[in-house]
Amino acid sequence: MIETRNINFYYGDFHAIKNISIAIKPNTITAFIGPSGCGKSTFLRLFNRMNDLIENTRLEGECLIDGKNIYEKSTDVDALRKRVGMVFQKPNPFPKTIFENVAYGLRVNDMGDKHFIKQRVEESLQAAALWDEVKDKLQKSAYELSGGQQQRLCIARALAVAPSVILMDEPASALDPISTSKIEELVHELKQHYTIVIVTHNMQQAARVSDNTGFFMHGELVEYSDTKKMFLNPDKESTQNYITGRFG
Amino acid sequence: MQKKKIIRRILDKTTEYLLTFSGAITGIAIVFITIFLFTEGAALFKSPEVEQGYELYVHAQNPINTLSPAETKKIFDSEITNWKDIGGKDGEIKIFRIDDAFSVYPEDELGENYALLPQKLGELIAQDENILAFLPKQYAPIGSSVKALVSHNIQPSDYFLGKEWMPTATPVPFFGVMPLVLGTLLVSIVALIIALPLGLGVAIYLSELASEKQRRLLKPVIELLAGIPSVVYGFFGLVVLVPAIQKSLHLPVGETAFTGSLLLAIMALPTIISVAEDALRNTPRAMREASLAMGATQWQTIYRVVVPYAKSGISAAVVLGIGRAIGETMAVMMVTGNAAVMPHSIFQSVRTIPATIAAELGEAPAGGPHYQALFLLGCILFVFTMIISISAEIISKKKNYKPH
Repeated sequence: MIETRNINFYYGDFHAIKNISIAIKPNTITAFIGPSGCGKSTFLRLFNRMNDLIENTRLEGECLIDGKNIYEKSTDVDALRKRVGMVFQKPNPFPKTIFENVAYGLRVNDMGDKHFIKQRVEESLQAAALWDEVKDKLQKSAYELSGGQQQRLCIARALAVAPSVILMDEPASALDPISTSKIEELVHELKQHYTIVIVTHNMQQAARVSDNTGFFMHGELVEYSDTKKMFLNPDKESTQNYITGRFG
Repeated sequence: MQKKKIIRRILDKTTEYLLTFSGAITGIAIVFITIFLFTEGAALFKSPEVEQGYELYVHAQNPINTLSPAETKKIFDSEITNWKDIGGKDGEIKIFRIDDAFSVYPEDELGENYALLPQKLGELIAQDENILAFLPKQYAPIGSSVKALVSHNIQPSDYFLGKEWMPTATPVPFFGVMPLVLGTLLVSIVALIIALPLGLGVAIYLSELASEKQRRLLKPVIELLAGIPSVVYGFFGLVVLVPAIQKSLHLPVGETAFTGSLLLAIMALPTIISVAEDALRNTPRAMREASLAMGATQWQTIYRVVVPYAKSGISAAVVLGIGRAIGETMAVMMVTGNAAVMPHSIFQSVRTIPATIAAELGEAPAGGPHYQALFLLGCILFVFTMIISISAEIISKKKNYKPH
């Protein structure tokens, strides 16, 4: 369960997120759509405090995950990020072997012994639908994989530490259509066990994979509702315009 | 339009040829320098052990036919005084130098331009079986009862494994490079032990922890330090470090290997920091974010992701650091005391290879064994740096999972 209450976010003087309140149910897929620069990625990155890494930013309001405000001083940010996994726009495997990429989160969080790690790596790769393709080359560099495989590896890497939420920041935007459809299938599969929030530029993708959709514009959440309703019968005119491609 | 195109094509071609030409010239120059170094150096092993232009002569009846450099040295140092000790007949060794001839024979007896000297010397040696004469070849004694000792050429083992560097000793110079090689290695290794952790630490601090403001202030200052001429560093070392080390460690002299190492570390630091910091900062933001997003702490991210990613850049920093340390001449020469003896501790005066070349090449007669020995020292230095570069290359290539 993710909930934000009157969140405002600033890059210096720039007001990037304007007073957004939203509630995301567990085990659902929520898509954020909107034109470039509308703040959807920034909003997504609030959920695992990735925006902390950017200097000269400011936040107002509350962001609750499982009922606790993650922006409280007492929050263990590393533990939070373990619970809230993230997949980035461009595949970004580490310069390590395929095995070590997936094992990374387990190692840095001291989770389990050698045997457990091995088992977990296999499970994660299977969950990311990559196991059959890489099981014979686990000790090869992750960069020997294709772009789509690398992105699934990044998903496996995120899954390995057993998060409850997975944030995906345009996970298929750098991939070809076949890889994209594989990722979409995967996202659909993962819904059973994880709460997924996905930012996308691709309207069809949002319509295909998500249960709920939020439409962002100029840092505001214009509309947030059931995906079917959003695409068939949106409340706001600007949503209608964006979805039908009249701007953006 | 057509004209413009032709001109552009000519320009392109000219640039291409110029680049090829300069590349070829550089390559040829490097090969030429290397060949020159090694041929000059290798000529040393064709030189006799005895000082150039001189030879040792004995009575023809003397059973000794040759003397090793060590034996010769001991005889001339009066440590061996009897022929018996080196396998000859019983009898005190009488050393005879060319100067002694002038006390035996008045100058007017020697004729014009000492034309009669060889004959007189021959007579003199014939009179005494125990005589050992060290004479210029120019005045080689004449007579049937005189023989020259067989002089061997300088052996590679004497050079590379020799423990004494006395290039101007007479009658036999010693070109043992061990003290110089060990001195160089000692000073450089200790310098690196000091400089590497510090340099990498500062580089990591600058690239990962420092705020933008701090970095903008510190980076140019550090890079400025890299540009200070080494003689200025040497001066600083001589005036500040040497007395400080002498006092704080209660040493008889402050000019020690350790002083040199410390100064070299200070000199190598800016290069190491600057290059390593650039490499660390080149690690893509996506790598850091991916690691942090997995719940890794900042330190885990640094040593598990950022440093491995920057490995080849860091090894470049190390190589440049070692290169600076091992090849540095002036500053080291000014603070290490330059005693060409086998180093036993780091608080002892040592002499490095570059310092030896710089100090002695000016007074070594061109083409002589001393001159060649110095060239060979240059070759050793060359081989050292080559080994370091190659091993750094291997280390940075090994287990590198970076994108190709």
